[in-house]
Amino acid sequence: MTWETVIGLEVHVQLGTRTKMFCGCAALYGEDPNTNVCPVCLGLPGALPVPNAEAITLGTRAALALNCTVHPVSVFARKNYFYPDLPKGYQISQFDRPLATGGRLVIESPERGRLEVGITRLHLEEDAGKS
Amino acid sequence: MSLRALGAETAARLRAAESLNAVLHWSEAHLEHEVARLEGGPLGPLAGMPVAVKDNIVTLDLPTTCASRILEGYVSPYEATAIRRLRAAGGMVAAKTNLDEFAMGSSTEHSAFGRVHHPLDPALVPGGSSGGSGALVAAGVVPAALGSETGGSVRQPAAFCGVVGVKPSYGRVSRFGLVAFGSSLDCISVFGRTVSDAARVLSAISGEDARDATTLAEPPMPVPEPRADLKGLTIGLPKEYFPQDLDPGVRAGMDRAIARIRDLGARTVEVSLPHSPYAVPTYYILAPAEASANLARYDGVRYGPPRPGGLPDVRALYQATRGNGFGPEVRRRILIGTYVLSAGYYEAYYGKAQRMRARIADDFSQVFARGVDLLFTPTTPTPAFRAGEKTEDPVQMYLADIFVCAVSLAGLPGMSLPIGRSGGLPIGGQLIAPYGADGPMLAAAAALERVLDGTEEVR
Repeated sequence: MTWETVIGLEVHVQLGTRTKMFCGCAALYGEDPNTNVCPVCLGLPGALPVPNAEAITLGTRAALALNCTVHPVSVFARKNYFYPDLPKGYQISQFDRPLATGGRLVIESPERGRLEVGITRLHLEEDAGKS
Repeated sequence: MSLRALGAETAARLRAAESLNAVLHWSEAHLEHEVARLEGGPLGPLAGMPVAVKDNIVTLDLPTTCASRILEGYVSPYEATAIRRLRAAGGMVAAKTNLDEFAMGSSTEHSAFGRVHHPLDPALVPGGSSGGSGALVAAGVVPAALGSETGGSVRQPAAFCGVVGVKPSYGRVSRFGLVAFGSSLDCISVFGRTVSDAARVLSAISGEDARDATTLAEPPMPVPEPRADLKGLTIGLPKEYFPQDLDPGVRAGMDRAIARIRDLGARTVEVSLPHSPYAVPTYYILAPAEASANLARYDGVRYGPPRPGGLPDVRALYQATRGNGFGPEVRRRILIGTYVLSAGYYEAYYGKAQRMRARIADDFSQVFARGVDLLFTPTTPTPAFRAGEKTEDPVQMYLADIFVCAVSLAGLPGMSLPIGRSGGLPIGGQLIAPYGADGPMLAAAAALERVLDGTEEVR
């Protein structure tokens, strides 16, 4: 039998935005705990998320660089689970209607020459556990 | 009357109404603080109006518990946009009112802090989930109150209590600071003694909000000019809302109100909303589904009453917190919601309910597209029922919302107006308008209010 190895990569990239994905708090490291927080990222009762426009711009730029089809309408969906570092009990992510699909990245491999890596999808989400 | 006297009078009325159990938090000190804030400054359009606020809308200083043990003692560090605007317009937050826990119920019997009594007969329910707010307005303690609707929770108690209850178009009022139950359905809504008071409060709290991405991109709704009559309007009467077995008192009240509508010059026409029978089942799949996610944050980690100690792991913490902190109706709905969203059932229940929701909304769009300006229906199938009558059978309780929940599913503006009494109990008539037509709906209601005495016996 001949076997072909297929490796899928799920790459998480933190975007270079000034503020968090769904609120205006600074996305900075090293401050005292509970400094860069607000009702939204703490998941306090009644708080609502508002998407970070710069994140959408950067995500779209990355999608275009990866030759993806960018969808003018995409949907943020809730990924529900319980964990103490997940304030809302769900992570706001994208599921069946992501920002972009169907791209490719062309690389040069020393052993095999020009290779095309398929990009299945690219989506935006908040970083769970980093509120 | 001076602001100071108004504050003292409100305090006296709150004290006199304690037996209703309509209030969860209020204090003389808080009222004095509200008065002091307005004294010496501009009074704004609400001119010091004391307004009661349902305890699922966050306020500073007074706690927000959602009538649940899981939020007992919780004081929000921020106030809801609607509250900020209410106070900026010269309104005073008078008290936080009792509700069905997390807004889940139709009678205010599911509060962790005791049920609310109907102001006219303590053995009856005031309706729900905004029963505390409705009862306070009906009892004359405050001229207006804020409540919230997910499936009729202001219109239904307004009908039971004999006051005006207005649900705006979805997105008209910011939900920032309204504790989420069903995010695609939730609307902060208004009770008033009169259409005018309700309209003034609604105008003050409405408008686009950068903190709520689902708000309509429109400025605050102006207070509509009341209509003198209904000439030129076509009012649709959906046949599915007038079943053969409609309560005789409700039917008599509706017959009388429809006659007045015609006297005011409107044309009435029978219409059909064929997917009406599916509204309650659709609602009780979608709302619990959204609630199961919205209530996941109540885990005992960041806020709420002191945690039980000595637990072996985090799972035990969640079970102790949520098992003890949530009442039976809340747990029932979280379980239903989790089930209909689970893999293997998602398409069959949630997916199907989403598609049915679109059809229900389309029923209304089609009728409004054919020259109908407003719809008129009973608000509830019966007047207020007795406490304990429907608590044994959740489905019987859910059916209390049969005439109000389709409007919520469609995101439309709707309101209840007192149209008379049957055996001494109030009856409400419901107006439903096209999306965005909150102003015209209120303008027409004002005309009808002038010719209908809500305290008159109808048979």
